[in-house]
Amino acid sequence: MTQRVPRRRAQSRRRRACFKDRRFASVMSALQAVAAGGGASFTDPMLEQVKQCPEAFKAGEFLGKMFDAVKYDFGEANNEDRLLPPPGVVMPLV
Amino acid sequence: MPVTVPSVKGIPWRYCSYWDEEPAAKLGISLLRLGICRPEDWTGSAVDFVERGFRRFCKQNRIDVVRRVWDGELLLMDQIFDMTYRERQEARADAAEPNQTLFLVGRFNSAASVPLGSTLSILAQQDPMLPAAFYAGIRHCLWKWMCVYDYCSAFNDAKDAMLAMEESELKDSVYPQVATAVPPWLRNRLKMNPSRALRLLREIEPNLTGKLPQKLVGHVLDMFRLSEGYAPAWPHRLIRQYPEIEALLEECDGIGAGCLLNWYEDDPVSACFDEQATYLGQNGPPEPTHLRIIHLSQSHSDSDKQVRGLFDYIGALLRSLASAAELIEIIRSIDDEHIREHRLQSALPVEPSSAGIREE
Repeated sequence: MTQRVPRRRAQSRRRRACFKDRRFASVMSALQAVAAGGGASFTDPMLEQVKQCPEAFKAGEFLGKMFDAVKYDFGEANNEDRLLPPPGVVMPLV
Repeated sequence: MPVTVPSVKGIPWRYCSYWDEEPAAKLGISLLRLGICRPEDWTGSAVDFVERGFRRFCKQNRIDVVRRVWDGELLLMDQIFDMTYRERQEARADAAEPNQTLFLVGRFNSAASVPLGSTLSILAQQDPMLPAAFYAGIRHCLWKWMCVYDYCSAFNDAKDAMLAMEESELKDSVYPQVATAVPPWLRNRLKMNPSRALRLLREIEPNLTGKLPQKLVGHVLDMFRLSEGYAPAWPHRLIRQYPEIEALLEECDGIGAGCLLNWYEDDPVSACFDEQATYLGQNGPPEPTHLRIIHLSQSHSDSDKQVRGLFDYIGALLRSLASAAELIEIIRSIDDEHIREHRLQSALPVEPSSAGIREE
């Protein structure tokens, strides 16, 4: 005698399988895009988030310059750009 | 209204250039199809994707147990040797397109010491042939995955060194002691054929009494089983197929041993090993122990077959070494016990001085 699977559970299983298939296919197509050399056109999750928050670019640029100054120790050259955070930015002290 | 420095969440800490991403994506496609990588490993970076799948695969194949005994690396790389940022940029400037090959590189940073003397004496109580079969078995199974420095290597090194020595120097030298320090159970049986050793181990195993000998022999039989059908991926084996590797290997200075099979710690075999290890790597980096090539410009089925073969090899290597690591831990605990017993019999004062305690 075959066991009957409750309809709701069967539906939920099918949905999960469908979600897995879709996830598999989307990751496969993302990998194929990168493998084909089209990585630049691929949606980068970091870029997407940064686009929504353009201040991150300025903050990143500022931090980058700060780290460069520490790493390469340029000293107090007169022609050096002043390192200023974007206007209105609150720098955390930690 | 002030804004705070934005925190961008859910992104990987490391990003690679598309030159690194492209070969990783090609490998990742096969790994996803083979089920080694999972869709949930995808974070937006192909390098990260492959790394997650590779790490999980190694963990499933007991790399944590292997690491308890061995210090080394197993890496998927786009070059055979580590490169600095500058070297990498220079190499990239000369190349017209991203790499079409990746490498599996395995190397040991140090040799694991396996002091066998006390273990062999325990096995000799079970059967007079068992120590020789055990020694031949463990040596053969370890040689499948690494260079082993053992009595034979020490004997040859000692022979070479003694040729250049005066008789007066030999008196104080450790080299003549290599041949005389062989445990009595192995004399004239040091070169037992591995297939004979396996047959003997299988014959003797059902008659063993006591858990310890059963465990010891059981692990060696496991190592035989787990490494069966695999050939070591020594780098020089690839030279005929890829002649360009020869030039890379010429820059190397020898191959480091992954294991030292000695009788006791600080015995003549260990002394010869220390002498050899001092000179290793002085004229270049040591050769990797494992080297396999992954071709990325192949059809789907060929690529999957190649990656499946590679990961089967990695799985067998790790499972076999995990069994070996458990065996070596038992052997070391037997040796520790032997040392403790011998120390109890030594003439330590009843109330030792602070210096005595430190020595103990």
